[in-house]
Amino acid sequence: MTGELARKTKAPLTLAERRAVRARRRRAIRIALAALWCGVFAVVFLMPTVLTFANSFMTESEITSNYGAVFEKNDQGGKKFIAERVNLKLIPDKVTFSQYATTFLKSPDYLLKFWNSVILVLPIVVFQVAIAALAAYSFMRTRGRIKELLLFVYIFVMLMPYQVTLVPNYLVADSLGILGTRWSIVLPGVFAPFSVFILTKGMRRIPYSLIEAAKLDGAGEWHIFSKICLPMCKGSLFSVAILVFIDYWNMVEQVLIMMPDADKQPLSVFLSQINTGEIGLAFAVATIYMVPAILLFLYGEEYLIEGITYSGGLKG
Amino acid sequence: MASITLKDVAKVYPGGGGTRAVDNFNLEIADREFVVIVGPSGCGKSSTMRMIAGLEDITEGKAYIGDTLVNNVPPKNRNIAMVFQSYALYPHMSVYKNMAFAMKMRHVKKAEIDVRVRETAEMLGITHLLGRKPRALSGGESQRVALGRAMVRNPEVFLLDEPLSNLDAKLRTDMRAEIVKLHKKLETTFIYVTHDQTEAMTMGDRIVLMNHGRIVQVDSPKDIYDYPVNVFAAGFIGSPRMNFADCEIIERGGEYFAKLGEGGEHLISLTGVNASRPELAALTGRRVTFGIRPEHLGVTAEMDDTESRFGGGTADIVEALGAETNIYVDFPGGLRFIVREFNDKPVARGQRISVDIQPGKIHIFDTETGEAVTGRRRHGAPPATEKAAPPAVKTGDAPTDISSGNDTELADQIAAGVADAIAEADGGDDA
Repeated sequence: MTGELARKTKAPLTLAERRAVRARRRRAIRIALAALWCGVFAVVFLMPTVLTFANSFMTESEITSNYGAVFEKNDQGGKKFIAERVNLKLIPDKVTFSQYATTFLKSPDYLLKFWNSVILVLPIVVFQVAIAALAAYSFMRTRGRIKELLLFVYIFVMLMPYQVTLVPNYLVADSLGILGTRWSIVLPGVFAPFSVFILTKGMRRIPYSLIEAAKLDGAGEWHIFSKICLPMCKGSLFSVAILVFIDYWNMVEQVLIMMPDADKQPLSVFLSQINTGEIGLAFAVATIYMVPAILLFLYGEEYLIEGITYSGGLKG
Repeated sequence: MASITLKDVAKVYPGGGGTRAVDNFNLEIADREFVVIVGPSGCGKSSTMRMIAGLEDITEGKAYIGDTLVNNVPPKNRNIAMVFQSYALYPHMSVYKNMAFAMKMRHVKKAEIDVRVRETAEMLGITHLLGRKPRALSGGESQRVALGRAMVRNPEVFLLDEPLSNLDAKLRTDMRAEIVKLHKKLETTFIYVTHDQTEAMTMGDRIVLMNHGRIVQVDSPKDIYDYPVNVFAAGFIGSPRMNFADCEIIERGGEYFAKLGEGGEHLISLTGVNASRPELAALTGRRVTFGIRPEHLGVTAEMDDTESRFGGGTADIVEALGAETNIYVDFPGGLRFIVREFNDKPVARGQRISVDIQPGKIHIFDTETGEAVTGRRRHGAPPATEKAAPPAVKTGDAPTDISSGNDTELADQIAAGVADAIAEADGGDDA
């Protein structure tokens, strides 16, 4: 028996077996290279977040010693390479919560700005999703040349960057008399083609037999919308909500143009200014600022992926 | 419980010049009847059902449920339930909620909903599934839940749109029997759409056979099988399908024969065929279509020359299905017929065999119009060789006359045509 086994193990590999071994080896190398490539990208993308988080626990003096060069005035008129003096550190010499204490207790300004962000972004997210869902339902339930043309226009508008429509928005807000108020941000925000597009794609995935079954079961349009369509495109709804939240949570230009009053401005605008002065605080405030977006993403990650996937390669 | 009447109903879809998916559709479905609408894909059977359900507008004609004209009644007010091919169970709701949804929409009290859902679930044996979501159900379970959802609100009419097509063969057979049982238990009108002629034959009280948006024949399964009104009906109902061949009717010594094959190799006696002598006489010398079902041909051991002999041929393909064997036989003259043999006679591929035919089961169709010359109208009539006066109704009668099943009307027609028929018969004999 043992002799047989030995013979088997020592027997030379056939051509097919040698090919299989080579193929396995090549596959392993490919996987390793892909993992390395992805790993490098992951580190590059994660680095700013990790740095912000780590540095928020450093003392003011440690931060200044590490990043002082970034803000150092060059009085001789020559250029200084920032990288020469910047010291990227992931582990603080001394862990401190002083930046957070300053943010929460000593300078309530930051919290006020945070609150400004909340009351600007939440209505935009809620109303944009609600209005887009109704529009998407309409696109899903009725078809026709005019509807398809309208959807095409929506997609076309969606492709335009915000800056293109900034001036018309400004003029409309001015004529409505809402310039300088929160409405000048919220109103243009609640009507968005992007959300309509994503939700239309999501709703068109719902098998039409379900709508017909609901009709036979006695459901009217409102019940079909609320009891069948909305629960069935939960993924698209969440992904739209998350993307809209992140988009408006980070808004800067529209606020600067439409709402110059600093007291009403959100933290996103303040954050861009704070970096120029109190760098120590900037890390702590940025960390606090990241939390809602990260929590939202973690909560709805599955839906986000589902929604984006469905809006990609769909029948429709 | 309700009857359904469709009068001159048509469905025209816009685009492409206005496709008439359903045209000139007239049908009366009695209360508690089980009607199966069958036909090939695109024949308009689903459109018809959807018009009854109210999911499609009726372009022309009128639809009644009971005595109520329902053309403009929305689906939810028609008190009908539908089982979809895809089951259409709401994926985000549990089985219980799926079944309760319709009643909830109608503001039925919670306690009553609970009682009815549980009763129905009990009846269908799905009580243990009530808490599950549709994605956790097998095909058969989903099918039962879909039936339960339809049953739970006691509709007047059940519409079933190819409900078994997603099930495997065994489950389909089981569910077929269950649906028939359910129909008997519920005593409600059932309309069942399918393209599967086995389902049509085994389930319905009546079959509505459709093609190109029109009714071809309405009859009981047995009659539609025995007396197809045209080539399409003959070919669609029955598996394997009926064998067809071009033939010529000839008269020899007072008897009529069908001459088949390129060189007229096969001379088949039409004695006992279900057609009158004058009709056969009228067809003499003309090309017509000869039809015989595979089960009405048989393999014989003896090579004899009796009336029942069709001829000798070569078995090309032999499909042994266990209880039966389908043998594809090539006959001289370029004929290729399927013989369905129920005996355990071993037939090998390439073997020369002798084939018998049951002359009374021969169908003759007018090649030009496709209409049957043989049919129920002549059922019980004396065979063509006898001199007695056969009942006669003109060959070109509308298929709906045959399908109406109105025996009194049929008897009147026969009585009225007797005198002419005698004269024609005599004339035919002289020829």
